[in-house]
Formats: sequence, structure tokens, C-alpha cells
Amino acid sequence: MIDPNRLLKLDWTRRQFLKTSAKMAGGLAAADLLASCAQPSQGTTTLRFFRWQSDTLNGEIAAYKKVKPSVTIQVEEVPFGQLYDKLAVIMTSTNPPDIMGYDAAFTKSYAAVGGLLPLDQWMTPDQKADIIPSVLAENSYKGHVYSPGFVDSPVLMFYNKDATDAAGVSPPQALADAWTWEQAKAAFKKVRKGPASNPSFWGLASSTFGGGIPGFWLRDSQLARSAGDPNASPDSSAYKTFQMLSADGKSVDGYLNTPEAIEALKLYQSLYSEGLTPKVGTPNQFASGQAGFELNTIEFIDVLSGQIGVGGAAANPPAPFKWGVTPLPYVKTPVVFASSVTIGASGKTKHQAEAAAFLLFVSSKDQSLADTRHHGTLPPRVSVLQALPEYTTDPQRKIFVDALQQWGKPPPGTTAFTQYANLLSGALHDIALGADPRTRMNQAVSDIDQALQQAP
Amino acid sequence: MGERSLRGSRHRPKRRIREAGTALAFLAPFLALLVVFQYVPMFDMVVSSLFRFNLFTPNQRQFIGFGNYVRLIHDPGFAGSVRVSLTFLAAILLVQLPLGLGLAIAMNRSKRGIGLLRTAFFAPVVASSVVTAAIWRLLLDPANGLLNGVLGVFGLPPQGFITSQSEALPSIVLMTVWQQIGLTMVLFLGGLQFIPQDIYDAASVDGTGHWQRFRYITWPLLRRTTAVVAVVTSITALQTFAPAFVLTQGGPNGSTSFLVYRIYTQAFSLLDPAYASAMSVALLAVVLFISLLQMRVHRTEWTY
Repeated sequence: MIDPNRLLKLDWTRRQFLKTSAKMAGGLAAADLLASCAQPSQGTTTLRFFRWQSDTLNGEIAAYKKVKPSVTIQVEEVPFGQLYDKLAVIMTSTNPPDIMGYDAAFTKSYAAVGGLLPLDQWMTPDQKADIIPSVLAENSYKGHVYSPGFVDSPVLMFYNKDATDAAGVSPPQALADAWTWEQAKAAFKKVRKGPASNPSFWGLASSTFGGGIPGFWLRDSQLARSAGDPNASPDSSAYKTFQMLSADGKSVDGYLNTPEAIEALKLYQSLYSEGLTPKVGTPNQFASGQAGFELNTIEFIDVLSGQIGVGGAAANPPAPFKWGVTPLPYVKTPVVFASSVTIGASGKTKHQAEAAAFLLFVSSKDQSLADTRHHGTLPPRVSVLQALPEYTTDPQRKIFVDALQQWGKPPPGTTAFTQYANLLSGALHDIALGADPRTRMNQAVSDIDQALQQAP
Repeated sequence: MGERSLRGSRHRPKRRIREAGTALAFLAPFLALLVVFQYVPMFDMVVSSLFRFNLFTPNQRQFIGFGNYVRLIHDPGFAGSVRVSLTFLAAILLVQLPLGLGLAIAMNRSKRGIGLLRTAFFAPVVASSVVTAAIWRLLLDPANGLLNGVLGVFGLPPQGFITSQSEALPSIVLMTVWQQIGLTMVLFLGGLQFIPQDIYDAASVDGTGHWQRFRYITWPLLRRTTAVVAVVTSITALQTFAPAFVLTQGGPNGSTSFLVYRIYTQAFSLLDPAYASAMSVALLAVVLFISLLQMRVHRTEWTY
């Protein structure tokens, strides 16, 4: 026992001090141990949900709580720019989250190492058949489905109609009339105001993808890819430019650094060197009326309309200018990535059935419909798309659906996609800031090939 | 009396053992933390550097001996990072040490408000590196940054700063000096205040000027402090990570790809922790070498 009266005395011997300190430390440690050993109430399951910073699935989580009060979803977040690196660490840790939000293009990377849980045993044939084929393909590996899909996000181009009208520019409205990148660049020059060294109004807004810096693979590698031709001879550099990866998945030499790709990258670099788009990211540049064009996904429609905010933030007022959507420019072959973020369960989760049940709930027709209406995304399910007439009648949404169906192609499929995407994004970033395209892309090709050789 | 002194001398070893035991008991928790969080990871790092494995599959290891070190020698990216880190170190030492010493001399006086001034210089040192980098990102923005705004007022053209391959590293040097100069100043100040005033008084009586007093009294007697400052500054400079991570992502074109940033991307973005471990061992060797070199250069026979 500790006598409080003695604690107040100052004439302690060393032995008394040590004894008392040891008793106090022991008491504190025991209390902490008891607290940490406290058992959760019987019959409840907590699923840890790791995602990028946003309000993703908040509505579905609340709905699931009503349906399954015994399951609690505990959310953990990181900024999107840190998502890839963070997932690389936590996915193979001894205690990974049960549910994860990730980039669907990385499905093969994660599935090959057991980082994701196959959902086949919980999915019905009807559920599988209802998933849009490109979404199902992207979320599958070696015949197993790892996610029921979440959204689909082709990237097209938004334009400030007040600015384009004032500059005498008419962006095309139909896929068949899509601009080439040279035509788009000319349009950027016409709408830009101020000197090239410091425009007061930019041609093309800075990127909002990844960490908000130039080079993110999903947005910026499409330009080089479109310099290829999928209908050319398979031995040709044009064909390989479009594929972005050898058929055996072991090399990108002669695929990312073809003459066509290098020329396209010079065009890409000129957008930055000629002051048409900023080299440093600025949030909300287009929505605040500082740029004439922006590359973005379908959700941006609702952001500009003032219905939702970016990344779950509070909605801003509607954009103070008229705007429209035009097809993504191309060099030779129109193409958009049929890819997006998705959600899946960890391969190491101790609550497989509960995690699968939650995933199938949030991707069910009713929940997907509610989420699509709330966020303005492109749904992954055929039945949901059919239940939303505005996606076929509203020209601004219809163009996204048409682009996905007519131009949509998946990203390169490799189990080393983590390294592929990071190295390609790094190379594009350096090229945007002035590195020689050929030299820098050859360096990236060498690094990517090394990673592909060691891929699982 | 002789008997009592004999009895006392028999108790002395026992007393020393008891005192040593008490000291060890107090040190034990911190030693345990040091071993668990520093030396065990360091040992694991060295062992990992002898294998090849993917971050996703850490249990599937293949022993390759010194294969990662051979790869290091032939890796132009690693050589580039070593060049960047050493260039950064040299720039920091050449700018920060003289400036810090000058500030310390200026602050080494008893005047009203001097404490406030010292605090003002030291305040950035305690700020988070990430927050500092985020603020400097706004200052160095090539389109809307404050620095380019000031240049514009004087009719000078805007600069690329962190988007320019030639200006990115100097920009980070500027930011680092701004943040760390207070620490250098405080360390030198401590050294200056230990120099006895009577040496200066005697020198004044002999008619020496300011420069002579600095050259023949202050500088020699500050050698030990300078060694400490140089070593601390060097270690901090070689561990620089936040500016590359927040400001430049190692670019443009590798011009700010510090060693620690390269190690981070190799491990977590390229999923190759074994090769990153080899880089870490190499960095440790570089830091140790530079620290020993600096202690040797700044060793002094002068004392007071």
C-alpha cells in the first residue's frame, strides 16, 4: 500500500524512493493492461474501413448500420496522394484493415500477393452479370472477382463556355467531332489571358488527380497512348504505343518509348513550357474561373452545379460561369481509361463473411442508385445505369457513358502495376517540368522493366 | 584509526556496485527503448539488405549476399542522389555555419529585448518540417508565389524555383537555412558564452581590434563548438526528407532526390525494401564518415 502521508515527505532514502516509484509504475501498468484486455460486447463486429479522404460510402455505412446493427464500420483515411504508399504498407501488415478503398487498376498487384479477398463464393451469377463488363474485367484476376465495383470514371474535358465564347472557340459536343490535342492546344492559347510566364487566366487548369501535381498516370498518360493505333499491325510501334505493355507483361521497352509516344510527350511538355497549364497544382482553379478547360470525371458535373463538394468537403456555390463537357482530345486514336477507384476486402481479414456482406450491400442496386444520385458518378451496374434516364438524356452525362462504351480501354494489366504507375507518373511529372522526353522516358522504361521482371 | 579506514575501504567496492546498479536501473527503460527502436531495426536493416523480396511478400525472401550493394554501385539514380545530398550538405555548411556564427556574435550581448530576438530566430526550428515545406510551397509558387511577386515589384522576371531543375535545390537550401539558422545560432551562442570575458579584457588592454579578437581568441576557442555544430548540421542535412516529399517529389528530374527520399520511394512506391535497406546502410556509412571527418578537422589543442 502507498501511504499518501509519506508521499508528501521529502526526507526519503534512495531505497524508499525506488520502492514507491516501482509500486506506482506497476499499478499504472496493471491498469493499462486491464483496459486493453477489455472485451467488446458480445455479438458485435467492427470492420475497419481504410479509404482516401472523402465522404465515400458515408451514406451506405449509415444505411448498413440500420440493416446490421451488430456490425460497426470504423473509418480510417489518408489524403489520396498518399493512398498508394500507405496501402503498400498496411496491406501486408499483420493487422490490415478489413475493407479498403483502392485504385481498381491495382487489383492484379494486390490480388497476386493475397492482399485482396476473392468474393466469388458470396456473389450470385445475377450480381456478376449486372456489373458493367469493363468494371468486372478490371476487378478480376485469374478468374476471381475481388470487388463488385464502385464507380467508373473516364476522364473528359470540361470547358468554361463564357471564356470559349469570348475567344471565339467552339468545343465539340459529340465524340465523332472530338478535337485532336493540337486543336485543343490552339484553343487553350486562345482562351489564355496574360503573358505565358504568368497568365491571369490559364488555358488548361492544373491537375486535380493524385497529389494535384502534373504527371498522374490516369490523367496524363492517355495523351501518349492516343498516339498509338490498336488496329495497326501488332509488330508496329503504333500498335505497341497503344498497348503500353508487352503481351507477356514483362517489358515496356518499345511500348512507352516509341517514336509516336515520344512525339506525343513533346506535345504534352509544350502545354507546360508554353504557359498553357501551370506546373504547380492550384485547387479549384477551373471552378473558381481561373482556367478555360479542365480534365475531370463525371462527378465534376455536380461539383460545378454546387450539389457536392470535392472529396466530401462542403459544396461550393455553383460555378459563376456557363460551362460544358467536350470529349477528351487525342493524337491519333481516341481513348479513355476504363478505370476508377473501388472497394474490396483484405485477404487477411478475420471477418470474411461480414466484409463480403458489407461490400455486396453497398454495391447493391438500391445503394448504388442512391450513391450515384448523390455523387453524380458513373455506376458500375447495368441495372443502375438503366434506372437513371438522365444518363441517356442529359448530354453532359451521356457523353461520359458514350466515351466509356466507345473509347474505354483498361489500363495495362500487370501484377507490378504499383511500380509501373509510380514510375510512369514520376517520368511524366519530370517531362512536364522540362526533362528531355526521350531520355527521361528511356530511364523510366529501364526502371519499369526491372520491376516487371521481378513481378509476382 | 587505521582499522576504521580499512573497514571503510572494504565498503567502497560494494557501494560502487550498488551505485552502478541504481544507475543501470534508472537507465534500463531508456536503454531498452534504444535497443528495441534503434539497434534492433538497424540490425534488421543490415540483414534485409542481403536479401531480395517484395514489400507485399516480405516472407518470401531470396538470399543474394551483396547483390544489392553491387546494384548500388551501378545505379545511376543512387549516384545522382548521393551527388544531390552531398551538394546540399556543402551548401548548407557554407551558408548556415557562417551565418549562424554571425548571428550568435550579434546576439551575444545583454540588451533589452535580446531574449525576444533570440526566440524569434529560434522559433522556426521547432516548427514541423512538413508545415514549413507547405508554407514555402506557397512562397515559391512560380505563378502566384510571394517571392515572384516581390521580384515583379523590382521589374525582375518570375523564376521557376521548385519547378526549375537549376533552382529547385537552391530553393530548398534557402528554406532549410531559414528553418535551421536558429539552432546553429543557439549552439554557437552557448560556445561563445563559455569563453571567459577576462581573455577579451586582456586583449583589449593590449590594443587588439574586433577582427584580431575573433581570429585569435573567439575562433580557436570555438573549435569544439564548431565541431558539434558541423556534425549536427551535417546529420540533419543528410536526413532531409520533408522538402522533397512535400515540395518537389524529388524533381524536377531528380535534382532534389535526396538519399532519404530515394530510400523512401524505393521501399514504399517501388516495393523494394531490401534494396532500400542497402541504400540505408550506405547512407549510414556516409553519415558516420562525414561526422568522423568533421570531428577530426575541428579537433583543437586549445582549451580554457
